[in-house]
Amino acid sequence: MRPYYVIVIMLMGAVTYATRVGFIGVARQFELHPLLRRALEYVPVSILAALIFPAVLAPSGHLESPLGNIYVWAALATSGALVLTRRPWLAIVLGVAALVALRRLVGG
Amino acid sequence: MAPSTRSTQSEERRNDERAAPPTGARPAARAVSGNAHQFRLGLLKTLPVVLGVIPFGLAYGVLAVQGGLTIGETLLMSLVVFAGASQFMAAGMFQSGVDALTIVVSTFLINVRHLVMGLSLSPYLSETTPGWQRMLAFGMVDESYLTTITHYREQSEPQGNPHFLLASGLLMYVVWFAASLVGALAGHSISDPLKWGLDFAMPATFLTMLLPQVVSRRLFAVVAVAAVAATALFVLIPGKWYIIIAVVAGTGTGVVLEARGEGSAER
Repeated sequence: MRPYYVIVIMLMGAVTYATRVGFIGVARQFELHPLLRRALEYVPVSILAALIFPAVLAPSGHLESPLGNIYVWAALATSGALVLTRRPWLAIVLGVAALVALRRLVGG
Repeated sequence: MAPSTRSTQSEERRNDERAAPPTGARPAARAVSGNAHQFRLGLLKTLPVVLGVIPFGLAYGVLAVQGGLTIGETLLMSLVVFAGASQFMAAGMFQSGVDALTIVVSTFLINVRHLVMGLSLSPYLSETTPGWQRMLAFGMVDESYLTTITHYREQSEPQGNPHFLLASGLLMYVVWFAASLVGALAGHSISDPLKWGLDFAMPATFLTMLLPQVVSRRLFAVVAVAAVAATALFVLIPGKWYIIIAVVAGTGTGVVLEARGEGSAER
């Protein structure tokens, strides 16, 4: 391993850990304002939405027409499979299989 | 489990806990075997999520080695940084000769979103010791955070069991390392697995986590606002700011709708 790379990687690790440890203990030290506590209730669904929708609607970094976008169809397949089977892992496998199949069909 | 039958373990636990009240009924002392159970649950509930991470770990290993990092450096980054998006970015930046400061600052900016995740977990860990918090923080990645916060909320108890997050983070760490290793070893002999269509594994996983949570009009509105904000900003501005801004927009929507709902209920 080259020292320069090791040093940069260590620094990357340090700043990343700082972001993780930064606020995790906040509620132990301070009483959180009720409004903030309420707002925090909506953080998980907001993060999920922020991770899912750009990846599906703009998989290549720019918006694509939803009808011609195989990621949109694969997302619908995943959702349908989840509703029908109620098994998350099965819905994920079927959704990814749908995307791989669509990609072969459309060649996109 | 009745606290009285576990008094010996409860005594031991209390020595570890700061300012524990002298009853066996507090969450940390409630169930020592419960910790093992929560650890197993943490592994179990993280398993489906792991499916989505494997292709990304493989892809990182492949791209990092193809970009000129040694196998050792590629793996060191997975062990020390343990953050997918910034590792991809750094592998690309190393390849194009970007300076160290830019790489480190970019890493920080990409990972700023962890602050929001930590804040969101903190009320559930407010009785967890600082030592535990510091250890758990290392394993808090998108997937372990989302699995854990979902679990804590389903439990609908004020405190979350740290062993759940420990297991979730640990499983993610091991899988991320193993997938990077396989990718790095395969390195020059396979193409980017994300190009096969496996890049959809991650959004598909998150989708199966999100759908069961959208149980009211208000939550639907939160998701819609966060989705529109995130997608628009993702297309328009570089970096990962779209996540933080979408979270602010989504939570703001939730709080405002909640307040309005209460207002109309009083009338």
